[in-house]
Amino acid sequence: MTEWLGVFGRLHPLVLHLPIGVLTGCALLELVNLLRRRIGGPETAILAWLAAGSALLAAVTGYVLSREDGYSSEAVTRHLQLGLALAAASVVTAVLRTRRGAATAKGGASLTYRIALLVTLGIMLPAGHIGASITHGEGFLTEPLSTKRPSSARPDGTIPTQPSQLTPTTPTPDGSTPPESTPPESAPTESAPLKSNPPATSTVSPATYESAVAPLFASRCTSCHGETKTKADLALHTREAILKGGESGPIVPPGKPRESEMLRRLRLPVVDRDHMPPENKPQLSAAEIDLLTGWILAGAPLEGAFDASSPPPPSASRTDSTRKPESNGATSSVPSLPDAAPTHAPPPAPDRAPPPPAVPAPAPPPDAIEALRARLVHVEAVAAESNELLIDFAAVAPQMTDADVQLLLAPLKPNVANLSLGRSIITDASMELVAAMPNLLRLDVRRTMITDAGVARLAGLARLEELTLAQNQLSDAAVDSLLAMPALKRLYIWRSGLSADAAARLRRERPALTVDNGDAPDSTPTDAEQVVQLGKTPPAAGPAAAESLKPVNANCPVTGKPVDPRYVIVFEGKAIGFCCPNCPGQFWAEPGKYEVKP
Amino acid sequence: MHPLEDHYLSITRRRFFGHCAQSLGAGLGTMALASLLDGRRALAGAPTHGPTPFAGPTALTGPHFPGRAKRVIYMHMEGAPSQLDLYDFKPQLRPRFDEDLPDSIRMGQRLTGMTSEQKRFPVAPSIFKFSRYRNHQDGVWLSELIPHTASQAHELCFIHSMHTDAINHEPGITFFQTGNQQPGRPSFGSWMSYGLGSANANLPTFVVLITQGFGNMQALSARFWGSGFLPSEHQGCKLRSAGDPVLYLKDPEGVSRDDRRRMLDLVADLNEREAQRSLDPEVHTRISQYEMAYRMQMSVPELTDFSDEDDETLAMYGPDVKKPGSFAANCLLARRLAERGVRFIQLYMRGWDAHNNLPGEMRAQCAAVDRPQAALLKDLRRRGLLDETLVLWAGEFGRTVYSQGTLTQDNYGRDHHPRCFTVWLAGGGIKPGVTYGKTDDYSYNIVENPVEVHDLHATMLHLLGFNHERLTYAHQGRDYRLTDVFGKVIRDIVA
Repeated sequence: MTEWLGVFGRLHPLVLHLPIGVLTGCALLELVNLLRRRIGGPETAILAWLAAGSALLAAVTGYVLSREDGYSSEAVTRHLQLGLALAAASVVTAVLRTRRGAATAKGGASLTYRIALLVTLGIMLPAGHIGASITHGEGFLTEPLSTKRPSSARPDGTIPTQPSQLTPTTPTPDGSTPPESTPPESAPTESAPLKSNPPATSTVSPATYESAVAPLFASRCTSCHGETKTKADLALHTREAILKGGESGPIVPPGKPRESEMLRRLRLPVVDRDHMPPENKPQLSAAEIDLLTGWILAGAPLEGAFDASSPPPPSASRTDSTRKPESNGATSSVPSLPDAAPTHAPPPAPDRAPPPPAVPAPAPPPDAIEALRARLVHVEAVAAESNELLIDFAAVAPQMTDADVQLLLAPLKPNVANLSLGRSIITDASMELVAAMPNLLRLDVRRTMITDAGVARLAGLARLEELTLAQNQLSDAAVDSLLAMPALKRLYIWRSGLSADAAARLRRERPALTVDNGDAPDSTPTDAEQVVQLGKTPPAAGPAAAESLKPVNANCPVTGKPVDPRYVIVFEGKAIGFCCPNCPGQFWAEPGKYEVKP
Repeated sequence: MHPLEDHYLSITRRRFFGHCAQSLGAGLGTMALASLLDGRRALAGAPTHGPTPFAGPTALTGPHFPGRAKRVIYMHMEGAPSQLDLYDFKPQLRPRFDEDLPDSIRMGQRLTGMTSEQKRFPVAPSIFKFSRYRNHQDGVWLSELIPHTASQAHELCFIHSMHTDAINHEPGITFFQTGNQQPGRPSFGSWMSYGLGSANANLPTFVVLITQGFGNMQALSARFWGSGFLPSEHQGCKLRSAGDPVLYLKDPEGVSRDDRRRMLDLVADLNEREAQRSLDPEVHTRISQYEMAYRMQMSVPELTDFSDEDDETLAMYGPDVKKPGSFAANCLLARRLAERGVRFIQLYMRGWDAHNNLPGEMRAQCAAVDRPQAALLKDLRRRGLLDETLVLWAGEFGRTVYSQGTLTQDNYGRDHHPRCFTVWLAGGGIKPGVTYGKTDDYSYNIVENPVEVHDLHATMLHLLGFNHERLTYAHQGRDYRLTDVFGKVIRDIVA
């Protein structure tokens, strides 16, 4: 029942237009009548009653709608009051119109009716305007007059540049020059990678909350999460409200972009139910999302400058067709989160759970998956609901060249977590591509054409835990590259060209690393039984146990066929041979029945 | 859900993806793809309902959570090897040679017809010497019959406390393979194929390799690797040891590969019409199986050709490796299948049913399996495959401590014993170098940590990334699981 009441309430945006149009029409007709000095027909009476009815309906639906969450601001209260007043005024107007028609035989329009109509119109204008502000945001009407706000529409479809406020010249309060000097010590440890792994082409772009973040919120968010409307209990128009968060808790955990509910929703595909801003509303560009990421990473400072340049996103271009071109530009790159793990990870703990993704993998482009399958390359999600992929070239490996691998994997770089290229004919060229896979946990390049140079390219893979290099033509020069891999836990170098000394060095310098050189020692006995003594006393001298299992007979005692030496039993100290595995059982059951002939 | 309703639903689905896709072309094609991508949700969430829409062998399925193992090599020792002579060391039994088994131990346990008529049940201790091998605990005592396997003790996890409900071979093997003693349920490999899909579109997802044994052999039915009520594309494919590995795979004389291709295209077209008419998902299975066979014409000869294996590797598996169908050759084949992404590799070694003449039969059987299975473990490990390949070595039950037939100082037999036996696992996220569970002094009853077959299945599915309670298939009005309504994951043996 309450559900249907909710639907009824949401009719408000439809119903409210009726009294506006009808009242306006009624007033215009009366104006014409007044100018022509003639008596109006019954049409204005009909319109007046229509207006009264629809205004009442709009008021009731509006009241129901206001009971929903997120409509608790002062503006809503004022709108509600004005709406009720409007409903009452239009009823009064309609009654007066009817009484006029009955009372004034000459038809002279009564003054009270005209005044009432004017008053009703007078209430309608502010009521409507406040209602529009609640829906579309404060200042929606006058917005085109102001030039300060960047237009959300980008008709040319280009990637929007950073807002002009993000100029390198913005001074910081303490006078230092960001971002290199932004002391990593002062920031949470998460910011360390920014320093240790500076983007090659990073632009110095200090920004402040006031200059960069607030305008972004004001232009894309506050119409629903602001002063007038606070959907999901979230408001983004003041600093306090931002830090307070909404229904699902704080949205900008300082220094932890990975935990930010806001960023998560911004990054979801537009068609996702949880995506923000809602479909059909102006979207944020990738650069703008990066800006917010940088802001949160820097601790979400409300004062002072922060480094707005996120680490370069993985270079894979997003081809997810579900994103609207106008929302992020045709060639915008995947928004990335900076790697929150320290570059020099402490020795890997013996847990098996892979670290949380440094860069959340976007939804894999369906056409890239189809392309892999068309070439019979196996691809599966590492787990349900995960965007990380396991890709195994095993079926077609012997024909796979660098060009094939490049073509098939380039669109999926952020998605690949587990990659098997073993037994293919790839070279170091493919290692360059692999090195750009930020989420790679396991790589198998067994029996390929890679060299030391290829291994060196992999050194930057921050999450790589398992690497299989067996059966390759490497040399000991690869050891330094291997030691540089921060997260490596298991390494397979059997017949990789690395010497035993190299294996020893790897084990010495990285005790937590399991190195398999194919030389794992066999388990040896520590204790051994010397004799088997059956029974409490030594056996009485009986027939000696058969010394050898060479059968004493040539033909099977059961069938008479030639003996197969594999089927021999020992009976009364004699080794007796049989022709097949079934005969010994028959013999054993009734040994007296069969005769053993030598 | 009512079966008829279900049928109508499947019609609507098929209409939608079939007819609409044809008329609207690419637009809906993308939608169909999106539904494929979402296919994995069917596994993740609520139980699936009705026959799954055909998604072909390349459907993007996946585990419920990231699994430790990607595939299984299941070495089934058909006939049930004796735990007493291999793994379950009972030195205290030796002085009790030929004593009667105390009634307090047997406690009226049912016996097979083969020994229930026996007048007495004389205790037959193992005549084989045991040695203690280093593992990650305080060592494990293993028989002199399996020195090579024992040398890998640091990789093996022994479960000494397995027990089963079945007392005869057919129901016993059926239970181990399908989770139920009655025939008709899908084999473990079929569940894997259903849950994970193929990782190599050129080879079957579930491959069966059989080795003839040297001891007493029991029947080995093809239904052990059948797909039960799952679509038949999930059934195991047996590779033959002699002649062509797969029958009728070669093109007949005079038929070129191009001719074959054209014929398949035409047949597929006709089959597609039949599929549209009858809406029977098995028709699509048939189309995909034809395509698979066409690709297997290339992939199987490459698979079974050992010429690219080096001498050192061949030597490791032992001299039998060149003999097709031997356990050594099948172990090497298993490694090659694992390398090529085959999900479930089922090896059978027949001939362990040693009712009498156990020492002689065990010697021959162990000589055939010991070296190859140890070599398989080593070979997988050095190629980086062992940590993602779950290896299981198991018979369908154990054998009795008392002798079946005449007991002598050097010969005895043992009857079927379901109340306790030993299996081992390795790789794929199993805790290496440990033993789990204990039996009593007679290896007759379990005294610590009993493990039933459902528990083993649940643990293996867990390592493969599945919640065994959520890997289901609706059939005849209810959701079926490999573990039926039982099973718990044994966390203690998970690394």
